[in-house]
Amino acid sequence: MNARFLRRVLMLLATILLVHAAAFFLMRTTRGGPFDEARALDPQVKLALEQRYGLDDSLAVQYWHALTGLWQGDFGPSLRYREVSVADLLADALPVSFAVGGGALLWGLLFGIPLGMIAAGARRRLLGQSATTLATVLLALPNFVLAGAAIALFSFTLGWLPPAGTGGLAHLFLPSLCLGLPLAAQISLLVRDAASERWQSAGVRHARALGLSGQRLWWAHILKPSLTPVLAFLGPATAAVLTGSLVIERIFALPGLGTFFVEAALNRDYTLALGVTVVYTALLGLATFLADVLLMKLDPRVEALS
Amino acid sequence: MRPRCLLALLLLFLAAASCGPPRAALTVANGPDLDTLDPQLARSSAAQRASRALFAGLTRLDPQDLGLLPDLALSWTAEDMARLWRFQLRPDLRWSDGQALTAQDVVASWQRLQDPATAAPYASWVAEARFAAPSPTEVHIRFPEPQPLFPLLCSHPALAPVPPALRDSPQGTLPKPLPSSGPFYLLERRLRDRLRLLRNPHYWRSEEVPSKSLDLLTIDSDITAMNLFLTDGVAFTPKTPDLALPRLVEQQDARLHQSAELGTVFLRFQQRDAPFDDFDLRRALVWGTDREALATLVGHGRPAATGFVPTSMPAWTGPSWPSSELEQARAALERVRQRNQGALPRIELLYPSTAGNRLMVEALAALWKKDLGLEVRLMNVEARTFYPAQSALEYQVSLSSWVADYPHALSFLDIFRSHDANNRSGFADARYDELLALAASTLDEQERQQALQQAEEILRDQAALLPLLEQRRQELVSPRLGGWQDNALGIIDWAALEWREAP
Repeated sequence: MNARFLRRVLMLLATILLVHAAAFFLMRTTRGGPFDEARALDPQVKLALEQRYGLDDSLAVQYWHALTGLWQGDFGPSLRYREVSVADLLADALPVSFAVGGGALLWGLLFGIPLGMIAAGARRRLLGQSATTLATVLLALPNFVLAGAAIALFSFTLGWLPPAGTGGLAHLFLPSLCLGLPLAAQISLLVRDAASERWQSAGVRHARALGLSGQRLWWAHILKPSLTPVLAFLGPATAAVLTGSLVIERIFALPGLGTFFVEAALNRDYTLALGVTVVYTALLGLATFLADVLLMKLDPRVEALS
Repeated sequence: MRPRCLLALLLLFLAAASCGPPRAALTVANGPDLDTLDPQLARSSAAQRASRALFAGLTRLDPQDLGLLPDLALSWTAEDMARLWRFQLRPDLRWSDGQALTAQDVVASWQRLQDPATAAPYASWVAEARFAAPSPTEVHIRFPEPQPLFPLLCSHPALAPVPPALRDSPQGTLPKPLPSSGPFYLLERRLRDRLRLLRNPHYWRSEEVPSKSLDLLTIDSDITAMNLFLTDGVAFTPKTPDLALPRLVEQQDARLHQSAELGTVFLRFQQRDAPFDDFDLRRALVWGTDREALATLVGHGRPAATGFVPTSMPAWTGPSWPSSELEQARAALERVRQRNQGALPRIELLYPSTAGNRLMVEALAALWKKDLGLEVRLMNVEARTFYPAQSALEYQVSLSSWVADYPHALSFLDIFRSHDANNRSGFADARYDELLALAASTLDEQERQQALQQAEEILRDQAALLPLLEQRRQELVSPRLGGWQDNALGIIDWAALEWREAP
């Protein structure tokens, strides 16, 4: 276990290094720089800015600085937000993204698992088919449509929740719901497929033949094994929802991390783009690792196979 | 980790992130997040709006008519043909932390603006000036050439004095706390969320400031800002979504404030190389573009431009530009065709990729095809790729816009000087440069206006650019917001704004 853990950590570090290098060089080969704006800067002013941020150094020197910064956990100053370091930007944005993403995970699990079980348990009846249809619709609906409908209903028609902004739990309700419902749909479809398969398996047939039914049958023999694909899916999904969503953050004016993924690249904010890429890679590695550990706990065959 | 621990962790994050500040006395949407809080570096309109709330200049613009008013300075006089300006500061000025604000602060601030290491975008305004503070309330600034418009420039945030803490802090950092000289001071900056400002008790007219606190919210999306506006979450939004405009106009909604803006949407022609080094081709487009039709199709309330300097410019009467003169345009195109072995060149129009820009260039291409038989290839690139390409003259025709820094035609015509960094077209004309130099230095306002009008005539006669639309301010302003004044520069007198209780 320890050797495997060490191997995973080393693999994660290597992945971070590779992704960091790829992001660095891809950004630098893209045309345009952080100081190319609608109003052209005086060439002297532009040069002074490039000197301040070390952009006049050779690419190799800049990469070395980025690499040593990565080692020290210091991504340097943001090139878009002039007086703010990337570390401060990430520190401010991560809690917001974690809160919305955490809420989305809760919605995903609270809705997704029961919906999947209903779809599997009543798959030949209207109820089950309705559950599957609902999941499919939620999966197909783009985020901005879902968010627009939720704002129209909860903010303008009912007047229960604010349409955007920060300031309280009420402000997190709609964004986490809109981020969580597609997740719930994915989870429900995974649970439905796995539970249907389990329902037809020899083990469950044998258990039913022995007279086992009700809660014990569903919990121990159907639901628990059906969670294996959900856990495998939740690793990368958790990293994705915890690092925010551009669409949801824009619609609800949330200062989360999701916006940075696109804006840092569009603004040629090299340092911030590197920072968010590394954070996402680390989170993805961590979440996948945790999901693997949970999988091994849930299904010993996984440990044996790996 | 046990599921219960995970759940507890999630709830902890939810609780931590849900803590927000209490509502401010006045909350407004301020557009995208500020790139800086340093007024000398501020370029975006959002940053300049915040700068005006925090930092007072020596002068300020009257939001009603954009006339010049004294602010930190009581009075000013010019000597030596406006080469030397003497400003008399108000007595007993103070920063928000209670420290005295003296003439020495003004001088040190302008020296900082001048310093290349500051990398200030408006450094050229004081590039060759020398400063002195003969007394704590007197500032002298001497230019090598006459600068008759300098008091007007002093109303811009870039020339507002900055506090010693900011001047002394290392480049690229902001002191905490940040003392200010305007109607408000900074209590808290929540990145990409809001600026929380409190009334500055040391501002020289603090008694007139009715709002105790002010929140400037960062909201990227116009639609989100409008949603908040409609639910009384904000009292003002700087832009109305295009999609909502027709309905608001149709309903004659009093909350929609449409007013002229000192801005023009236009096309730059790259005149250094073929095909737009050909005067006839440029003239054909300038004469043959139906700007009224364009305004109807994609203007969203913006009127057709009648020249490069917008008609809303105070005290300005510019030369009229031709529009829809199809006969002359077709004749010019015919000459181009004859010179090109019977074929018209295929035109490439470069534009920064946004939905609004796409609609605009598609409408233009359709009009040119219908009226002139011209084929246009539309090329969209993202903004950070567009601007270097435009600066390097790697285009044929490109979509552009310009908004004045200060309410004077010079702020527009300046950008087409031969070596201006914003020229970006290859246009160069010695006579034009001479007229601009004269306009910048003459003390006679009539002579200045004549010089600028002649300069714009040169742009028109050489078909150096194609004006398309005049910009409009389309703001949403709550009827409960007291003290609001519409104006063409979007100047907000933060000291006058007040959120009134609902009747």
